[in-house]
Amino acid sequence: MSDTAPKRTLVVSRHAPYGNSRARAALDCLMAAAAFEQDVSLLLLGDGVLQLLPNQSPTEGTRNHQKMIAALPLYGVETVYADSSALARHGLAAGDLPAWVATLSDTDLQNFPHQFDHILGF
Amino acid sequence: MPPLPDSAFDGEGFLRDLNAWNHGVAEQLASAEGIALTEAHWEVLHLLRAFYDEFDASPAMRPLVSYCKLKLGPDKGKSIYLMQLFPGSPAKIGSKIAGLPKPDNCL
Amino acid sequence: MRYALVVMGTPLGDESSARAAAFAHAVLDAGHSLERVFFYDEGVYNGLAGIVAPQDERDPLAGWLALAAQEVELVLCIGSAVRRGALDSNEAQRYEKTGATIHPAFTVGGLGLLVEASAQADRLLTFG
Repeated sequence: MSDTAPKRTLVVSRHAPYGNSRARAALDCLMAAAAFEQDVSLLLLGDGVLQLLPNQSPTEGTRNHQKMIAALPLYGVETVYADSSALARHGLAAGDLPAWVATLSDTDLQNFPHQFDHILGF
Repeated sequence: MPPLPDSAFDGEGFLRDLNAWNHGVAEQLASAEGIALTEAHWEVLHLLRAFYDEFDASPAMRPLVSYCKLKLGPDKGKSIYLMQLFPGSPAKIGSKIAGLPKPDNCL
Repeated sequence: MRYALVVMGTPLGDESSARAAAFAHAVLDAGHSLERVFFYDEGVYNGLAGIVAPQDERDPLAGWLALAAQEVELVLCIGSAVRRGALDSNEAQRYEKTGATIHPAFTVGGLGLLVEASAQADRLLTFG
């Protein structure tokens, strides 16, 4: 593969938004790649779907993850993919989610990553 | 309101206490960058602050352009337009004048 | 094959950063290319100059320094690093701190350096 061939990258984010710094790290990395016009997508797996929880209200001095993630369409990341089993497990219904979220079933998830050149796991 | 003393700004000219920001301070920050603020500048400065309120972060160039396009229309949602107002690095210089947090140079 | 590595584990918190260093050496020994290791999030602690290992325990810096000696670039994410006190002399000055705290074999740089390494790599691996 040549240096200049455009690569498709999938950022996989498995952590809830505030327990540690990992969800934020995934988001910063995704936004940087998008700011550099890379072809990059986000997949929220497992507890990572909690990043979509409505009405987040973190303590003062912690950025609101729900607000930050809502900027993704402006970064050119039009769709965020989320694990539908995990959403159900956490009691999140499709109606709770922003319009730019697409859900993937367990079957979808088996093939979904294959379309990407790189996977960055967080 | 009298201008803030030099000690209100750090070595790179960023406002130390963001709560001290007001329109007069913006004029002061802009003049340090060699920019005289016009209505067109103010429109973008207010937009930068609105972006920060909505998304809890300062924008990089790409989302700033998208946001301008969304809120101010296609003529102003162009990087060339922003470059004319805030030459060099519009997202960075605009955010500085708008009193948003100092960027960590992560890009 | 061109490799790029991302390290997110702390030096002693788990085995991931030690595994990353061992993997990096294996990549080079096998004749592949590795131009840059990018330390991100908690991984930036790997670059602290002041790490002291007891004489009879593994020195977490040693593996990285051996890579630097083979021209592998060791980059600490600047945003992750300054939040955690891992500063080079420029950043120390920029934030009015007393001095550099990272080992000179490491540099600090933006996420753009990860994006670039990723765009050029055939294989991108994350550790931690």
